[in-house]
Amino acid sequence: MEKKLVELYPWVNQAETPIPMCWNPKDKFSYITLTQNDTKILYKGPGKSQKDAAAVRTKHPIPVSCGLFYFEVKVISKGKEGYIGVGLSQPDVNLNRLPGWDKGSFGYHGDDGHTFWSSGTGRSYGPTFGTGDVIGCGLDLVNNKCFYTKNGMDLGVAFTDLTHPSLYPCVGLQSTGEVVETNFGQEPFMFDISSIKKELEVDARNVIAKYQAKLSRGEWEQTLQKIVLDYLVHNGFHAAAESFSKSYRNTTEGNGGVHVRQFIEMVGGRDSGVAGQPEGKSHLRPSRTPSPRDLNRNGSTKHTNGILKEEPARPNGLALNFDSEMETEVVLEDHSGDCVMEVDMPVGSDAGTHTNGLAVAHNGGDVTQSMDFDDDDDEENKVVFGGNPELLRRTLDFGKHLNEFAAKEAFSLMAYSDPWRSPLAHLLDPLQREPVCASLNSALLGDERQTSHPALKVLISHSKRLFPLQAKRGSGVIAFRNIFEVLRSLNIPDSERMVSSCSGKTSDSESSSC
Amino acid sequence: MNPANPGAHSPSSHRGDSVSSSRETTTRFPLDDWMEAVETEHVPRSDLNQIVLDYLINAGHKDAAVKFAREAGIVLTVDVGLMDNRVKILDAAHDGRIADCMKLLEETSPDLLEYNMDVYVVVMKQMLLELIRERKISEALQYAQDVLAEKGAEDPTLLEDFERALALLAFDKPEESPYGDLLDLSKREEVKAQLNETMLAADGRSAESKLALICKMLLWSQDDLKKRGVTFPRLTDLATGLIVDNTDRSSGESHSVLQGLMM
Repeated sequence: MEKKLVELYPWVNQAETPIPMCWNPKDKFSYITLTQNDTKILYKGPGKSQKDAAAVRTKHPIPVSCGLFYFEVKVISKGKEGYIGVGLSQPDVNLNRLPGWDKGSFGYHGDDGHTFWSSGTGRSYGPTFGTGDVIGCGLDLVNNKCFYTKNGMDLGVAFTDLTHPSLYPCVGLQSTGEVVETNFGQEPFMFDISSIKKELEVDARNVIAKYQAKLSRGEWEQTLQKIVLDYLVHNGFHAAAESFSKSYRNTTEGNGGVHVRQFIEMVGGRDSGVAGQPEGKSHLRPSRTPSPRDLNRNGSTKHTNGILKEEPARPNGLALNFDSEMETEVVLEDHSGDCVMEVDMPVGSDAGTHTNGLAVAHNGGDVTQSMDFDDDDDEENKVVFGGNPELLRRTLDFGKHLNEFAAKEAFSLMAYSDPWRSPLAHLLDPLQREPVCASLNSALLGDERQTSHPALKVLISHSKRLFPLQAKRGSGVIAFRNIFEVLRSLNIPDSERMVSSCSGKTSDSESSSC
Repeated sequence: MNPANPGAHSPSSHRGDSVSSSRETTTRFPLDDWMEAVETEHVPRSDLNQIVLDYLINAGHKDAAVKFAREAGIVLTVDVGLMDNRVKILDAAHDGRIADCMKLLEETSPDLLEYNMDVYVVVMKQMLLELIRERKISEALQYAQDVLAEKGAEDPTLLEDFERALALLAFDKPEESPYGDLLDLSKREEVKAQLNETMLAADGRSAESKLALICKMLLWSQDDLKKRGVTFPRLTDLATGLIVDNTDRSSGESHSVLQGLMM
């Protein structure tokens, strides 16, 4: 039973939005009696006039996440007159009536074959029906239409614009001896709904495919690129990030518009005009970082102010990690323009003009812009502390701010005339910067963006959160197209996808490769 | 059957309409709670990796795809060699080598452009623009003439587009002219994206990456819910994943609209 339901309605969360599976003994007119687990309806009223009409609704409304809801009513006996109405009803519509007569109710009647659309006047629609006939009623929640079937034959669309969020299956009887049985999916249906389902799936896909984001084509592509680059950087997939960023580098750089660097900064969330950052909350306040290319490679690295302020209350792990790396970097005196930061030091660090080739390393150790992969300046490397008292003083001063234990190793570097050949050279290894990059990146992103997760993860989590809202109040499209379905399709092995896409048989959602 | 007196027995006929149901939708979703849920929601890393890999392959970033798979420890079950032709064509479009691009297309999928006239037009337009960008003025004129003689009659918009493009020739610095937007490099991206879709579709593959689908679905879902009067925190920037409390914002917007009208 449960299994059948899951097959019919895979995206319905029964705990939130139960599927109507029986009639409601508490939501029927008194002339109606229910038997067989509330699936069989017997008329027990006087049956003399319309005033004796009696209807019943199901226990639950039809969840939109069904996409297509379908039930069948078998007329066991048409009784005296065969005044039988099958249809849908909003809650609170009078049950002393046949479905369709009143606003908010819709019905197909057996005695005349007419449909009644919130009105006492019927329209001719299909054949009459009586004893032995099976009448199916389908609600298409993608297009908000209702159709009927008779003995397994599709009778076509009966009602449109059925957008009310809670519609209940409804049956009304009016003459003595009328008896019907209902199949809500407990048993196989007489009508094959799979073809309708396929149509709706196509419709649902088109709804999404035709949806136009309020972005130009180019902006849309750029947005996708940003999400991907953000993910690659965030998770430290450096080689992929490098290769990926190269593939659109010249487009963005030559453009006079978006510079790759700015672009990457935007990915870092700094240039996106993100509002609402609570004041004083951030420990690390990034601002515009000059491109390394703007800085003189051979020294005279001017430190801009206020990129990173050292404050006492930084998150612990990060603070330690960062400080000790900072020390290393000062020793290196990378073009720390990359990582432009003014550490809260007594020395006016913007006076930090260093003589040519004093101490240089390279390699884009830029903390947030960990994307600078230039390989062109290795030549400048490896000159040591030469006698620049200013730099030495700065380094020492900075060292004082560090946790003693953490700084010890970094400080030891200074004991060597050539730190790169010292036993502690690993500290200078650019690889050492990566954990710092990662933790700093997280901290920066976290500050600016509410969350420390990559945008891609946020998009998916957010979509997952939207789903239950849609299941309650949205469109039936979600029964065919939703985030869970897309995620599930990811787990179909590539090889299968390839085979299926090559044979050209599968739907495009399943195929993705190459 | 018809009731004798339609509607007479329906004292409650107005109760069930959308007024009552819209009331129940005023359930609030405080931003903080929402963010916390978004934060704690588990999304397997492998899913995210698959989405990214799918994008890289779909968009024709072969090298990045291979490197990503290596770094993320994904065994590539797809023969990326199959991408080569598509990558070459996309690279040519990316670099503005439209002639190469068309030649490669002709070799690999001869009738593709003929069957996709809209894309063909876009490509031809770009061809002309690239000639102008390189200041190959006589070639540009010749090209425009040839194409228009052949196709212009069929397609009046083509004529119009070409006229705009040729107007660029009147300027010393076309890039800075009022028509400079035509030479924007993002146009190449558009050509590239359209070619990519066409090639993928011609191969019976999904023209759209999962990532694009996810983004589209997200935006559509939000619009659909909003249309139905549901209030919920909205994600307003795909690239950063910024989520804002929509309740406050929408009331603010309507307020400013009112003010605007009053002034």
